[in-house]
Amino acid sequence: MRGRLRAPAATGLVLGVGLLAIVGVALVILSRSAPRRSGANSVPAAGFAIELAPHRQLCQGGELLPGDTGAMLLDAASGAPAPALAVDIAGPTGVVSRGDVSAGWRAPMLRIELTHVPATVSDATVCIRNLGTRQVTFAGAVPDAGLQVQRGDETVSGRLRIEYLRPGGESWWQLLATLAHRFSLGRSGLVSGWALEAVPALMLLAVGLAVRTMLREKP
Amino acid sequence: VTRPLLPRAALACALVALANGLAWSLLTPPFQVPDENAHYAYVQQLSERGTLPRPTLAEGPLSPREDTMLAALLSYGIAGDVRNPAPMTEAQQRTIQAAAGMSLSAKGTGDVLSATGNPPLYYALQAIPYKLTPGGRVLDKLTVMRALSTLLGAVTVLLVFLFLRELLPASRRVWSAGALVVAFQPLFGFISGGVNNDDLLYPAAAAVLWALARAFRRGLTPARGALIGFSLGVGLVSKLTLIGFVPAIALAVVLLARRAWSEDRRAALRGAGLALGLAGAPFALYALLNDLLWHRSAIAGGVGRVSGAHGRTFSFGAELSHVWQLFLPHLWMHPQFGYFPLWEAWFKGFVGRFGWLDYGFPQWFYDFALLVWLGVAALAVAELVRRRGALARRRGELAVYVLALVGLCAEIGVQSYRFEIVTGGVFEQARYLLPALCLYAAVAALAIRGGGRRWGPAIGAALVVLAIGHDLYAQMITIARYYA
Repeated sequence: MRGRLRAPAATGLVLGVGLLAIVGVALVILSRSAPRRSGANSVPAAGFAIELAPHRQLCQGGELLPGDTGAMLLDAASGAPAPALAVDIAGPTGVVSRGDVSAGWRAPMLRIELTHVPATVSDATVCIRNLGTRQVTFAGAVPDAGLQVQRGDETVSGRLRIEYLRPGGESWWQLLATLAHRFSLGRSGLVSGWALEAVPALMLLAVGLAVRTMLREKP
Repeated sequence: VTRPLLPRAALACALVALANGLAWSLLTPPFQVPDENAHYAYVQQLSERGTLPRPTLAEGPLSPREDTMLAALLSYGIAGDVRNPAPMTEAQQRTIQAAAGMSLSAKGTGDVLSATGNPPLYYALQAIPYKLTPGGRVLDKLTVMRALSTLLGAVTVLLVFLFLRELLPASRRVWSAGALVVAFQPLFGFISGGVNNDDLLYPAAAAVLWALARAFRRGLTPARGALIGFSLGVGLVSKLTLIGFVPAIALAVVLLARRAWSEDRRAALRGAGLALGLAGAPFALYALLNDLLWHRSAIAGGVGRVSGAHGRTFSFGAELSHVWQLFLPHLWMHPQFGYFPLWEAWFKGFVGRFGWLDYGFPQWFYDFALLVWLGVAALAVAELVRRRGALARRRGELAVYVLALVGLCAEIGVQSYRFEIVTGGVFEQARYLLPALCLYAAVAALAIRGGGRRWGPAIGAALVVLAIGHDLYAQMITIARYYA
């Protein structure tokens, strides 16, 4: 046996090194900061179809503005240089957030920073003003039965696709409490209270059993 | 040497699959496993009305109770669009709770979308948790039904282990590693964690291959023939995809009967008869009940020509070409795909495309997976070459496994062509290949054996670690997709 690893030792070594590498990579990924969503209006981006002419305003009602929102993401296109835009978001009691973007933004992903929205606002109205001299086209669903966008005095059947982002960037660790809350939503009451904790526990069990089985294997 | 029917290592591998499948079932939001809305509706139809679904002129709607819940969950907005996350706010949760609290009918029109034409066994099994889950809440029932699916996933892995034990009886160290590679396969875990009749197809297919390997190793007896027939019978009334295995099983039975002809002809013939009878009887009964009682076709769309829509016309020549091109380069044939299905649909899909095929890994991961796969395949081929003497003695058995895979691919190809002709849509999904999981495990097992006594254990451990890493990465992108 001199000069070579015995089978169980080789198995143990490879499993140990491999699992350590997995843990290392996982730690790097979990610690990486990135923009995180607070929600979306689930409108499919069927194409760039909703136009906003220079110096006009477009308003979309019936939005669910999620709490902890600090920016919004739109699919938008425009000739260069893209115009400056301003956003007002009003709830039933008045304006709840404002934001703007300077001229020269790059299509097609338009991120507009907003003042922080601490709590969810139902039935919000998002208004976008074109402050420049070029037309902007937004992606969304057109026509969208029952849903309308108000463009100046004109009512357009359709809906803009909007994604809402949390302020700045966050690592997965920072997002953990939020994730635990999100895991409890849209699920059966049988599992909603413990689903997030159960997933790593089950995977630890699976990996532990797999390692034990491999180490006990006779050649 | 007599071995226990279920070794502890096999049970451990099955438990690994159970834990992994349960994790996937908790991770994936309700109705985000392909066609889960349709499969749930089938179970609901069976449980609430006691009848099988029937196609209607206009598809759907499903029951008001299920449709209301699907709308509250924004299911159709999330499915297919990677940028639409699962519900994230309390306001959405209130809508979902309000939908769950409504007193709505659980009876639909009788049409259950893409699942309408499926055979009923999986759904009959799922009717047990459906009925046993107290209250009428859709999400409670779905959760318990998903748990039953993961149990079937665990049975699949158990059968994969037993298949490897019969296939490579002298190499016990490869059995666990091969089964664990399957247990951590993320596409398998994802599908096992949802409500889908594939979840009964997989163990049935694994049982067929295990039964065949057992008969090739020990000879065809009435009991072993019955095992082959029973497994195929169960599979056929779970999902008709298993028809693809029929030519391979027929070949196997002929080869096994010929081998036993001079020694125990009587036992072999009884085995062959039982295989045929137990495979055919459930399907014949299903076809008869379809005709007499349920008034629907046993094979949705029939077996002959199909009528094309929007100018698409059916031709058997084009169908043959379609089946070829679905898996292989089109060569001189008129190209039918704007992409290379072997890479885009099968390889990348098998490595991992999840949800309603709306998210997957970054491109570099598929490229890396290809390198790993080429290495594993090279080791497996080298092992086959090295053992060519033994391989020549078992060439009949090898032909059966190859024919099983080819038959499965041909069956998928035929369905794909007919689906395209009728609807114009894309049919192929990598999960349709998972009935061949035993053969996937066999490739891994051969690669491990190819490493010999010196490197084999390290290769086995490396493959299991890679499978674990692959699975965990798939779960992380799932969390990112729906919740972050």
